[in-house]
Amino acid sequence: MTPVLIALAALVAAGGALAISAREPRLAALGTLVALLGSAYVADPLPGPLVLGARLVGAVLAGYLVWIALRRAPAPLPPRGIRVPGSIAIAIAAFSAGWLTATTLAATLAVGPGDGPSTAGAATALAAGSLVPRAALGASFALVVLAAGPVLIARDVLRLGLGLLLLIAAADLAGNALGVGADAPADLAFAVLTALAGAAVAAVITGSLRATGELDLPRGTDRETAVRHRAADEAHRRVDH
Amino acid sequence: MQLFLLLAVGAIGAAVSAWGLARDGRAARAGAIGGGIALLVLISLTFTLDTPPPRTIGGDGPAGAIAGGLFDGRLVPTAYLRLTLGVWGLDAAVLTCLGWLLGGLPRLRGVLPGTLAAMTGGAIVLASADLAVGAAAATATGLAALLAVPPSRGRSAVAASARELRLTLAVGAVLLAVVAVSPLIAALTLGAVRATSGAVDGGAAAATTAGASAMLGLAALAVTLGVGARLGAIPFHVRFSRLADAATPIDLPLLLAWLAVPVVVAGLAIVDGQIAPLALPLEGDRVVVIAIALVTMSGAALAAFVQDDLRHTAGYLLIADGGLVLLGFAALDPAAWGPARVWLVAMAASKTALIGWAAVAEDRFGTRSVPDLRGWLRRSPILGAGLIVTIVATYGIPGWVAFEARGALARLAVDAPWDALLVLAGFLTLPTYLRLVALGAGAPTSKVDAAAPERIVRRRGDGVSLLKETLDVEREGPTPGAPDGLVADATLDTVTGDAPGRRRPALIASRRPVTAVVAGWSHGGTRGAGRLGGTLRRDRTELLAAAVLALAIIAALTSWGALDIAGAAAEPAPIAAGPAGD
Repeated sequence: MTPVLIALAALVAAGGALAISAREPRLAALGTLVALLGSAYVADPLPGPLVLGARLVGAVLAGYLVWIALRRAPAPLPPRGIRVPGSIAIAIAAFSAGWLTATTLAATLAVGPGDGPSTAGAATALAAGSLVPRAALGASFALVVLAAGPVLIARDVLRLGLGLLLLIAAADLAGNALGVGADAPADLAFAVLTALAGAAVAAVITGSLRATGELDLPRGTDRETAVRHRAADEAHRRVDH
Repeated sequence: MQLFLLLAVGAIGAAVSAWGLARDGRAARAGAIGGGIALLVLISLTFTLDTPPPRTIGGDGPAGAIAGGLFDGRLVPTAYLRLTLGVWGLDAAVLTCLGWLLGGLPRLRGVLPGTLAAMTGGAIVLASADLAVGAAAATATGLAALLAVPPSRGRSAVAASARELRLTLAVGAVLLAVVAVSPLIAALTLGAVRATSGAVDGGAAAATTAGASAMLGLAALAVTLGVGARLGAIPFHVRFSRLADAATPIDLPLLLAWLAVPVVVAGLAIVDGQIAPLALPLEGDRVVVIAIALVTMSGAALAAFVQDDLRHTAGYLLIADGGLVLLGFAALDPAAWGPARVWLVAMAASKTALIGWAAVAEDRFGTRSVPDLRGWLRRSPILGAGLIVTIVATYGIPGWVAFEARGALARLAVDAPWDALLVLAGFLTLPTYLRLVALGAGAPTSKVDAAAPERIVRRRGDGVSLLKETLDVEREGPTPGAPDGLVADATLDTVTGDAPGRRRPALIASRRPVTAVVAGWSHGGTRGAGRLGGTLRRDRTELLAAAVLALAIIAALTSWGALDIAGAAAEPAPIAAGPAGD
C-alpha cells in the first residue's frame, strides 16, 4: 500500500503544478481536483470508509462546482506566470525539501527509547519509520510553494481560487503527516470546508465572468467617491427666504 | 439536541433567505420572512440553551452536548456561546429592521443570510471540543462574507469578494496547519527539555528545544497575524476601506466585526491551549505582536481622526479596538483567555452600534463626508443619544467588564509601567468620537438642514389629525415617473400643515428615494400591510434613530457585563479542554 500512497502524493504535487500553470482553465481545475482528492488519502493509517467517503464527496463537489463555473471562461488563458515545466520543477524541489524535513523529524523522534521526546501520539507513523508521512509532508510543501505565488500576487480569480484550495489541501496533508492521528469529526469538518471553499471559489469565478466577462481580478474598481470637494456654500448654514 | 436544532434552524434559515432574497417579488418576501423567523427562533433557542457547568477532563459528556454519531461529545454548548450568540442575534435582529427601513428587501440580501450562516458557523466554533473542527468551522464561517458581498454585484464586488475569499481561506489554512503541527512541536520541546535535565546528550537536546521553541513562536506569530489580518490590524488595514466602499453600510457590522469573532476564538484556543501553557521564552515574538498592537491602536486612531469619510472613520475605529484583541495573543498567558473574549464581544457589539449610527447618518443626511455632517446632533437628538451611549459602551466605566478587560489585557501583555502606555493607546480613539459629537453641535450645513428632523411630537396643522396624516401618507404613491418613495411636495405640504410652497426640511428629505420595499408593502400587499408600510414610512426617521439607540443599549449592556459575560468568557471552553472522554 505504501508505494501507492507515495505515488498518490506525487500525483497530488503534480496536480498542484497543473493547477497553477495550465493555460486551459478546466485543466487547471482538474489539477486542483486531483490535489484535493489525493490529499485526503495520503495518510497512514488510512481513515475509515465513512470518512474517506465524506472526503471524496467534499472534494468532488468542490471540483465540480469550480468546473461548471468555468463553462464560459475564456480559453486558453493569456500566458502569465510560470509554465507547466517550471511549476513541475518547483513542485519536485519543494517535495524533496518536505521529504527531507520529514526525514529529519523522524530521526529526531527516533533518538532511542527513553531518551527521545515523547510525541504524545503526534506523528506516530513518522516516528515508526513509515514513508507515507514523508510523502505527505513533501506534497504539502509542494502545494504551499506552488500556491504562494497566485495567492500573494493574485492577478486572476481562477488562479487565486485554485491556489487557496491548494493551501487547504496542504494544511490537510500536514495534518496527515504530523497530526495526532485520524479523527473522524475533524475529517468530516475538512470535507465540509472543502466543499464550501469550492463553492466560494466557484461563486467568485462566476461573479467575475458575469461582471467583467473575464477572469482577471479587477484592479481599478468603480469605487464610490465618498468625500468630494464641497461647494462653497455647503459649509454654511442654509438660510430660507 | 437543542444545539443541533439551533444549527439546523440557522442553516435552513440562511439557505431560505439567500434563495428568496436573491429574487424579487413574493420569493423575496418569503425569503425575508423565512430568514426573519429563523433569526428569531435562533435567538430564542440561544437564550434557552442548557449550558452545563464546565466538565472535568475525562468525565462524562455534559448535558446538552450532541450525543451519538460522529460528533458524540464534540459539540458542547457553553455559557459563552449562549451570550455571544445572544448578543449577536439581538444585534442582527435590530440590524435587519434597520436594513429594511433603510432600503427595503434589497438591503437584506446580504445581511440576513450572511448573519444566519455566520451565526451557525460561529456556534460550531464556540461549541467545538476539537481544535481542528473549530478551526475548520471558523474558516467556513468566514466564507459567509461572500453572502454579504456577492461577487455578482459588479466589478468592485468581485474585487472585494476575492479579497475576502483570500483572507478567509489563507487564514484558515494557517490555523489548520498550526493545529496539525503544534502538538508535535510542543511534544518535541517538552521531550527535549526532559532529555536535557536527564543529561542525556544534553547538547543535542538543547538544540532541539531551541529549534522547537522557535517553531512554536513562529506558529503563535502566524496565528496572531492571521487573526490580525481578519481584524484589519496594520498593515492589513487597507482591506477595511475597500470593503467599506464595496459593501452596503448595513452589511459592514457582519463583515468587519462579527465575522472576526469565530476566528479570534479559534486562534485564542490554539495559542492559549497549545502554546501558552508551555511557558516558553518567546519574548521576541511577544515584542513583535505588542508592536503590531500598539501601531494598530495608535495608527488607526490617528487615521480615524483625520478621515473625512464616515464609513472609513467607523472602520478605523474598529481597527483600533481590534488592536486590544491582539494584546490577548501577545500575553501568551492562559489568564488572557477571559479578558480577550470579553473584549471581543464588547467590541463587536459597540462597533455594530457605531456602524449602525454611521449608516443611518449617511442615509439621513445624504452624505458620507464628516464635515458635511456639521450640526447633525441638533437635528437628531435620538441619534445623538445613540452615539453617546455607543461611546460609553466602547470604553466602559470603571467596574464594567469592558473597562476592566482593557486594563487586564494591557497588564498581561507587558509589565508596569508600560501597561499604562497600552491602556492609553486604547483611549486614543476618544478624540474622534468627541470630534463627531462636537461637529454635531455646530451650525448645521445645508445637507443637515435639509434632512428630515426627528419629530417626537408631530407638528400638524389645524384640523389635521394623526389618523388623517397616516391615511394621507398611505394614499400617496410614488410620484408618476419618479423613483419609488418620492412623494409629491404639495401633498406633504398638506400633511405637515405648512403653507404650500414653503419647503420644510422633512419635505426636502422626502425627495430622496425612501425605500422601495416600504412602498412595496403599502401598495402591493394587503390593506393591513399597506397601513403598516405607511406608518413605517411616516415614522421612518424616528424608527431609524431608535434602532441605533437600541443597538447602543445592547452594546452598553454587554460592556457593563450583563448576564455575567465575564464569568462566561473566563470558563474553560471545550475547544481548549478537548472532547469529553479524552
